[in-house]
Amino acid sequence: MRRLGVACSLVCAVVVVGCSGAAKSTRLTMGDLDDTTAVMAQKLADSRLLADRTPESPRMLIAINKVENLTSDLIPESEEWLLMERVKGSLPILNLGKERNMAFVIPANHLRAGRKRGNLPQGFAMERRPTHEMTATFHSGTRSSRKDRTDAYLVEYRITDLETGTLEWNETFEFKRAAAGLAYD
Amino acid sequence: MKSLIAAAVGCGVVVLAGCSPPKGENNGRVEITDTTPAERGSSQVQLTAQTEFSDQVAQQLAADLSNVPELNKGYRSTVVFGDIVNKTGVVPTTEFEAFRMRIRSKLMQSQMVLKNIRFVENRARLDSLRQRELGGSGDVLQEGSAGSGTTPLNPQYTYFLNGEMYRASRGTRDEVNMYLMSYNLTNAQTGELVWTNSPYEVKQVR
Repeated sequence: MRRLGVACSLVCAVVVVGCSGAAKSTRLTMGDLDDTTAVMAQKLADSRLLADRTPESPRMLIAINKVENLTSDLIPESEEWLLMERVKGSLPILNLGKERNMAFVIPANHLRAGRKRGNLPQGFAMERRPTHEMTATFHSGTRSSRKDRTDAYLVEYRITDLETGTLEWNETFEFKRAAAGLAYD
Repeated sequence: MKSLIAAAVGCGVVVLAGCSPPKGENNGRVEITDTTPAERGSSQVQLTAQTEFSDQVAQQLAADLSNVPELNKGYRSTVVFGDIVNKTGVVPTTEFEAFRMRIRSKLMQSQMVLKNIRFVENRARLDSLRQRELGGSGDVLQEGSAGSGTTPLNPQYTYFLNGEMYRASRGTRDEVNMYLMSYNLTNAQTGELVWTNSPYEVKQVR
């Protein structure tokens, strides 16, 4: 009987260690990207930059650029664009024009790529004159000890006036990911 | 027999709990203020300590800048985020950059600071932005000089916020580390240091 009890305890211990839901990687998840864009979209919507603008404000033309990745994680280029497009897409584009006198222009990167592919007619977007740029930078710091690893992520979004260099809007979002064990365990 | 049944039931509960699937995508996410086992076991400066220090620096800097007479003359002065130098020898450049960004962002949330100051990017960064977005003479493919078209800053009302971060350590394995952050504000026209802080400090003991 006693042996049975001991065996039962051992099985439990093995199962708990082997089946525990502890993360084994500190890589960015889709959930992290979702939360980042949702938080930033909300912060931009609540910002003084938007609140202070009226239809009479000087025209603001914003060009977005992909996220600059300074983390130790690999963020594919498509996700770097996704992180910006989602925040931009959260804004009511039509109302922005009417109520805030602001609009977005085609990103320089897309324009260059389109021209190189020969898909755009001569003179396309020749009058493109963004007044502001919106971009972001992802940073990370890593600590590891034996089988434990932690990555602290910080993403900074900003809108900069291209004429004066003034930082018109600047917000950060940060979180940590902790993992134990090896990803291939 | 009763105890065996109880043990079996207990084991079943543990198995179910242990094998439950990860809770959504956020499994492994921890609060930025929590110190994790990896941080405790690492010989590097703790990430939590860095976060706390940057909060402390931003708070003190905001309070100090709002009391600088040159920045309280009834108009918004221009402050360029200048050179912040990492002289700690142990904080990696990428982490120092994040540290700097965090302080900048916190400062920009301070209404007390923004009342008197507008922050601008440094010249090198602005030129790089303009080059990317505006290119040369309107055609982004010409990649010409983007220097023209900027509004020059009036040096009389422009200040550069520069700083340095130092470290002093003691112990055979650097068990005690003191981090110091010094800032100064320099007038762009005269080069005069209009304000310097008594260094903001934090001590970390392992």
